Amino acid sequence: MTDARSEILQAVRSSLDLGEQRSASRVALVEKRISESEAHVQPLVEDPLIQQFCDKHAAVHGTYERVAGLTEVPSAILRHLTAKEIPIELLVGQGELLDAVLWPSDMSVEKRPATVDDTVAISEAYAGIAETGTLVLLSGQKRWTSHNFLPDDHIIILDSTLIVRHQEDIWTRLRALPDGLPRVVNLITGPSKTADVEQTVQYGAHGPRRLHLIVVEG
Amino acid sequence: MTQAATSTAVFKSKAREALSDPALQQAMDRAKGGFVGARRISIENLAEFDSLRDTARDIKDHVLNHLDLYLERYERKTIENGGHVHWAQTAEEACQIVKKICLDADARLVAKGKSMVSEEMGLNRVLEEAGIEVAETDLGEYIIQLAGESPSHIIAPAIHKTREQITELFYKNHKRHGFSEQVTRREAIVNEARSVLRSVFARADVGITGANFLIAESGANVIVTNEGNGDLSSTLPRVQIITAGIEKVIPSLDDLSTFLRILGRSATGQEMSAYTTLYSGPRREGEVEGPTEYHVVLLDNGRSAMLAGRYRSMLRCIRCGACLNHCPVYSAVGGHAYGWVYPGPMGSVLSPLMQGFEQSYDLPNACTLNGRCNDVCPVRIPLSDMLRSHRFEQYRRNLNPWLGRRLLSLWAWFVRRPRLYQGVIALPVWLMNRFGREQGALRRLPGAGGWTGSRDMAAPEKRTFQVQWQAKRDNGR
Amino acid sequence: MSDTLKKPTVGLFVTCLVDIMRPRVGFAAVKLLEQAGCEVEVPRSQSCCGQPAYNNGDEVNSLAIAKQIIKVFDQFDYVVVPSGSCAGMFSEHFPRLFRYELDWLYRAQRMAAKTWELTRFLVEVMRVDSVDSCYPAKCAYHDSCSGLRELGIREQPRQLLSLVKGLSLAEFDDRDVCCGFGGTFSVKYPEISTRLVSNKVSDLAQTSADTLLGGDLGCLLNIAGRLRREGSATKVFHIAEVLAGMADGPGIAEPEDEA
Repeated sequence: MTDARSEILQAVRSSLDLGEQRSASRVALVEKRISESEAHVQPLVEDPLIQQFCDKHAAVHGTYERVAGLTEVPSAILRHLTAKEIPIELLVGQGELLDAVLWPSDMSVEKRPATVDDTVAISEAYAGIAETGTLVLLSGQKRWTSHNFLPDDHIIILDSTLIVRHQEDIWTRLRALPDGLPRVVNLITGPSKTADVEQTVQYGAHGPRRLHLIVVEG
Repeated sequence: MTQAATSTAVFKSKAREALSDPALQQAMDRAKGGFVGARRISIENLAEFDSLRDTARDIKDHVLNHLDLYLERYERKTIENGGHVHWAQTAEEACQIVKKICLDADARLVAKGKSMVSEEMGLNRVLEEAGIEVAETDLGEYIIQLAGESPSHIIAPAIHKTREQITELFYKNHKRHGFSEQVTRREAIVNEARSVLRSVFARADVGITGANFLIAESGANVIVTNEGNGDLSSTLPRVQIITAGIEKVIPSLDDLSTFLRILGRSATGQEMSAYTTLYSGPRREGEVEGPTEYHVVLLDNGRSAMLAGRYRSMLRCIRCGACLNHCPVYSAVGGHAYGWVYPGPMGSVLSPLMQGFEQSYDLPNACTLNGRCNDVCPVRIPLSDMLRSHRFEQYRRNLNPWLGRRLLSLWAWFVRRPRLYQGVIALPVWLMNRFGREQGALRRLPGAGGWTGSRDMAAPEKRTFQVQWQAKRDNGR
Repeated sequence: MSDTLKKPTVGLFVTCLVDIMRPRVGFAAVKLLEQAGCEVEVPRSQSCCGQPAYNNGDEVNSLAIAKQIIKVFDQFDYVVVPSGSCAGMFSEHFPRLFRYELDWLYRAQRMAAKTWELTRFLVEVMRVDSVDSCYPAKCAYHDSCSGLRELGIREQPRQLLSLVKGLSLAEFDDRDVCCGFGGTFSVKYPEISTRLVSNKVSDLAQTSADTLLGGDLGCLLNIAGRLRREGSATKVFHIAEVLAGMADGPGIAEPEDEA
């Protein structure tokens, strides 16, 4: 008895009018196409990349601050949250930079998945893409995807040396990971939004209302 | 919410209704301006846009030529990632597969991200009949779910709703969630929906989304969204289901980047959506967050057949909606007139193929063949040519209204005999000139009520060009 | 235009709408072509390009009509048509019609290669650089969809109009949106067609142009018909009439003897 899978594949093959259906040469062609995959046409992206990246991020309603070093991160976070009068109750994800941050004792910092009641999460980006002002965040044991979507405020720390020019530069890096792609690769460009009400953009549809970036240089 | 099958009667009467619905007209005007203008600006800023379109078209054509192998490769990788892949030949089969996954998982509540394929399947009704609550979480889908309607646009499902109508819907339906005020400001509307739907994400047992792309290289599933509901539906519930047409597979991540560059711009004028996410299976070892079950349901529903013929390039479609936004007919009558889940030019191509030619008579005919859709399609699908092909198919199957067909045959009989034709038209021309020349036009013309109902018909000259030309020649110019 | 030993021969395809509804457009086209240095003939054995059959799915009649046209126009150097949609039918669709009839395909391709819409012909082939015409008014030009999209006609008519003394040109908003004619569409889906032409009329009003010009009589009859019904005084002419200096009489849908 044939199952849906065989029938669909058979239907596809007969539509393609294939003589030798699963010929070795076809299989090799497909494998080659994938393994030798390269970037196609890419838009021009001007230097300097950091400023290009920040400008793009701001153009999609993101805010940012550039700081000279890791030690300035807590104060940058504090500045951002106090300016918006947001309580300093932080959820923090894992990352090389974030793990090395010395959090002031009066800051409430928790490292766990987010719930609907959490208001602020801090994540570390895997990379930034200058072409579109996009942040790349990977899921992990201590990098909870819920941080990227549940709280009203999302703050992302980005090492400026991890800003690449084009999106394809990210794929090259990800392909080199020992376990391949993680469960989730988030490409985040600005805060959550919708234009479903009268074609007018509103922020904070389901994800964060505000996306703040702290670019760590040096 | 499933929609009755497309039918001739539906289109004409719904179109008429739509044309005299001021709220709908206002909404369509606003939408048309928004999407069209935004797209134009975004592509003006990208010199490489046309070149990207060619590349995208070529990638899709290549995949379609080897669709079987790319699907097998995608499946193998997804299984390696710990996911399950299910295949469904028909919409009904696909619904049953999803239902079984939900029932086996003891699901009470499903959180749905936007999926046009799930609308094509008619999934919600099947799940609801099985006692499972289905909560649409995309704001536009949520609004139409409350209204008991089907989507009228593939990107902005509630595009036909005005703010007042949304306020009304929320006021009626949110009382049970503890909201008792009428919210009129857009910001407040969005906030209220956000609050109401938050608990859905937290409580849902299953999250169902569509897929914009399936990556054969690594077995990833990609969703391109702005709100975040698709992502919340894919992370918080314990079961993740992705419904996708078999034509969604692309070879590699580099190919994805090409498509992303044209998708956002073509759809909404965005360089990049707020959230473009690649999902690769259930939670990994040591992770405490993410679904423990990951299922991909691949739907055929006529796509393998489309591969065989003149409609193959329709399978390139990346569901951006640009053709809808630029179609003057769609802009005038809105999406519901098309009677099914796919409206506008792409719907007029798909509905006859998926729902049957008999049911969808009007769709390919309610088109001026102006070709603006072809101009804006990011993967260069020759949409208006396909609509004409549908007309050839309809003629072959004798689906045309009897009178129109007879008149056209009669007309063609004369046209093929030009001298006879010229003889025969002399009298009607003379008559039209006789009755119309004083005003310059006729306000009424028997048999042409479709025209003269709303337009004057210019009066011709007394004699046709050929008659005048011959007379001049005979008299020596 | 450089001197040639022999004048190019042009077979004029009049189009059914010009033939029936506004013959003076045909005479204007002949005048322009002769002034440009062509030898013009108008074969008697012509009626219609066949679009109504073609666009309604009638393959048999489309083929028969096409074969007739190809035979009749075989002898000319050029086939010139004062309509984007009919010219497009010959140059884009005839070859497609004959894709399964290889012997006719060659002939269809030959016809396609020598078919030109009037304004494109005057600009690109005959390189007309002056016209004997004066039309001091503000005009708006309507681009027909087939002319625009199938034949790339946009700049050529405007270039020709710039040669007309006194004429100023205004551009519409949404100028690449269909006027709603679409051949039989206009009578099969009249309410939608009416909506589209009303939009076009209100876009036209925004330009405050006195005159609407275009290269396709179908579109012009549609828009003029709606203008009259709405009581507008805007004049409507086919571009050939203005270029040939034959636009001093009544416009489309205007009474013959005007005060």
